[in-house]
Amino acid sequence: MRRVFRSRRGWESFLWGLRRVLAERIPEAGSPPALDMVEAAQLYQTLYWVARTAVEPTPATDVLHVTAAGWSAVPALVHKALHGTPMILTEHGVFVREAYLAAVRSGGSPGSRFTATRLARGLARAAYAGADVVSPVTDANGVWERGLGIDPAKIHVLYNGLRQPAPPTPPPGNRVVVSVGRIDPLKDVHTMLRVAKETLRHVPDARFLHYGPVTEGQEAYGRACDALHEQLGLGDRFRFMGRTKDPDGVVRDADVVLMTSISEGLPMSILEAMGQGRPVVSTGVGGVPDVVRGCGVVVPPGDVHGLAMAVTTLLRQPALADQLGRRGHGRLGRIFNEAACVDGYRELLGAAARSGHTAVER
Amino acid sequence: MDTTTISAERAGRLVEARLDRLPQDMLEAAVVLEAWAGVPAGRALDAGRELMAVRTPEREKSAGALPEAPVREGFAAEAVSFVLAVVAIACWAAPLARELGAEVLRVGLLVALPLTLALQWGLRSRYLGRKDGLAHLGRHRLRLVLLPLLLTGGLTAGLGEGGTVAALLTLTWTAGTVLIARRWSALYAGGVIAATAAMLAGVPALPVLAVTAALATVAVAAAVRVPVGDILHAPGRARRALAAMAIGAGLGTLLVADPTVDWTVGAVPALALLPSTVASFWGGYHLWSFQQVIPRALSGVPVAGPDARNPAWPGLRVLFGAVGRLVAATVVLSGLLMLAGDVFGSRTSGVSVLAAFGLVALLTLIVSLLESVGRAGWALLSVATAVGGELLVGVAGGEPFPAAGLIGGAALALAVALPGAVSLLARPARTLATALWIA
Repeated sequence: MRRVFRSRRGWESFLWGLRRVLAERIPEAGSPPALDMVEAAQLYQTLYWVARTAVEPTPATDVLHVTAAGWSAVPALVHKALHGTPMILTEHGVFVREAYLAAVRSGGSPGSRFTATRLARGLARAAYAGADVVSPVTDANGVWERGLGIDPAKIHVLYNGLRQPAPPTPPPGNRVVVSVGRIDPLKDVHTMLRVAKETLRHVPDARFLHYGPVTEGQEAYGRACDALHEQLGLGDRFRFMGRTKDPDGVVRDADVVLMTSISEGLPMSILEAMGQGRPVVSTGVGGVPDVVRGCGVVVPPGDVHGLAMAVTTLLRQPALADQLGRRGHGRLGRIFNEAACVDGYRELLGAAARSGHTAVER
Repeated sequence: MDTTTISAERAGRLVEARLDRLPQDMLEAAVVLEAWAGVPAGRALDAGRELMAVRTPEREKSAGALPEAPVREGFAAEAVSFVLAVVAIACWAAPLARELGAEVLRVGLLVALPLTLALQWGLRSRYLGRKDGLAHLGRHRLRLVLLPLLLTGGLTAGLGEGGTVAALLTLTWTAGTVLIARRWSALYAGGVIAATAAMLAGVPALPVLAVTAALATVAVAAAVRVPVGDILHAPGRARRALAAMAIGAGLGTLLVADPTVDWTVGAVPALALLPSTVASFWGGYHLWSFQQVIPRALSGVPVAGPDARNPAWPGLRVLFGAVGRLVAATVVLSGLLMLAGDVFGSRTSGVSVLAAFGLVALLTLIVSLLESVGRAGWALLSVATAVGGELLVGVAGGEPFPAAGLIGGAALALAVALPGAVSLLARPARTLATALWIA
């Protein structure tokens, strides 16, 4: 493989193929940028790593379980092509969507954006084509998956679930707003800080606590969040608390749980809030609107005013907040419970294993 | 906002406001509409498709980002330390030969030079030339202590006193490579100079050498104690390191296989290495800039279209510049050494030996380039040609002048290696794609 990669033939075949792609004119795909040789070389090296991933040996197995329609699907696709083993793809987010978000935020050259997103799309399409069942955690992701060309019959939504929680305790009434999540551009912590600033204008004694570490590789974003925190003059009224080992406990101590993400599947932090009977104010991304229905407030992403007004309203009206929280608790028990989630996976994987054995016996 | 009835025009305005440009394709438009405008996924995908149907962006020019050129701090200090170490070690030959006999020293050097160069090349390929390489090496600290004992025991058992000398010299020189990579070159040079002073003051040479080798080994064990928590890069491949070892062993053999170059007659032959060693530092420093020059030359050169071209000259200019520097510096410094030799009353080994060492330095430079970009096979062929050529000159009619075999072998090998280097740098795009930046 290494020899082929280094050969003149390998490089020239790649250039020939790349030039064909760059000459494509498909309205939906826009106009490919005029890549330079440096970007072409970088793409060639990336494809080399895809090939290296493909040649990694995989152990004998009854079912291939892939957790993202991206690089991790490559060895499974090879294994399936060699042995016909059934392949299940479970996606928490949508790999292509997140690759596009990363490319948009990267501020890279048109060529680097193009190659990163095209590669992600190619990997995702290969994973979708190879999977026997695609199992998103929310219907909203299913919409994306259908939009990316999956046969709807392949899609089988399996919601995340939490263990049936104890009856909720009353909210503490300390006007504490808690958020739980990594400090990452996808979580849009900048918006969260601005929401805090606006909320504090209406509820000066409110306190915001954010739990979660900075994502590895996003240290610059973490520093930008600190800078914005200082610029907004939030002081102790918004505190970054770092990683927590007790997400249920920190949510239990909240009056309102806030989430400002711009991309989500079915976020566990919202399920945890519902498990503790706390109302949720969240951006309506991914599966959030389906989950939060009737037990919180959903606002478009980036809508600082809308999010701040929702938080303000719930802090000022604790009875309403309590009522929404209890509805969330009930909804969690009915729909997003651990038993249903585990049963769903057991059934899915069991059926795949049986179908694999049947195929082999045939 | 009523997100269920978004028009293509409104979608276009929203997306442009967020991106400050037109979207590259429908998926980017859809992602932006969903993530920053709250448009539900299905509607965002439809809106993205409609938007691209009415507003296709113009083809944009693009230029890949270039990594920042690595700063080579302390290069001059390293070079000075290395040269001091070479000079000091050159002074060991006389005391060792006096104490142990010329034959023992000859056997020692015959084994030590190829073995040292093999270890140095192998270590550089697998560890020292890699990011996090010292940390990886630090995982084998026990082996770093046991191997010297085994090496000394084995060589002594096999070759007697000559084996002991070979082992101690190998350990001292190889340790120098690790210490210089750790930026402890001053410590190494200081140790070697102190040992030289002791030998010249009449302290028995073999015990001094033994203590120096032991201290150097301990220093290596200390040098590789670096934090291992944040290792991000893998070590070099074992197969590649083996090939590098073979290249190093070949170059060492080339140096010792010519019987007309006698390394045991005092400091002279080792001192004759100085001009080419200094020159190869300068040439190598220049040559290694090809890693920045090639990407810069390719930046902005489109893959397709009328402007597509293959800018071969910048890479070749670096190669010829490096060769020119090495040759010029070798000639000038060799002349100075000969003059100094006359002034101090000792004779250097003559023009032919200095020229031979210059050619070996040039060969080493080119072979290093080939090895570093993964053309170890070509590099090995060149070195094998050198050794073969050297032996042939010796067999076919003796040596008409000192170091004739070395000159013949190195020249023949350069004829093999240089076309490889030229072809690598003359096709910079493929070289960048297949050899640079890859961990």
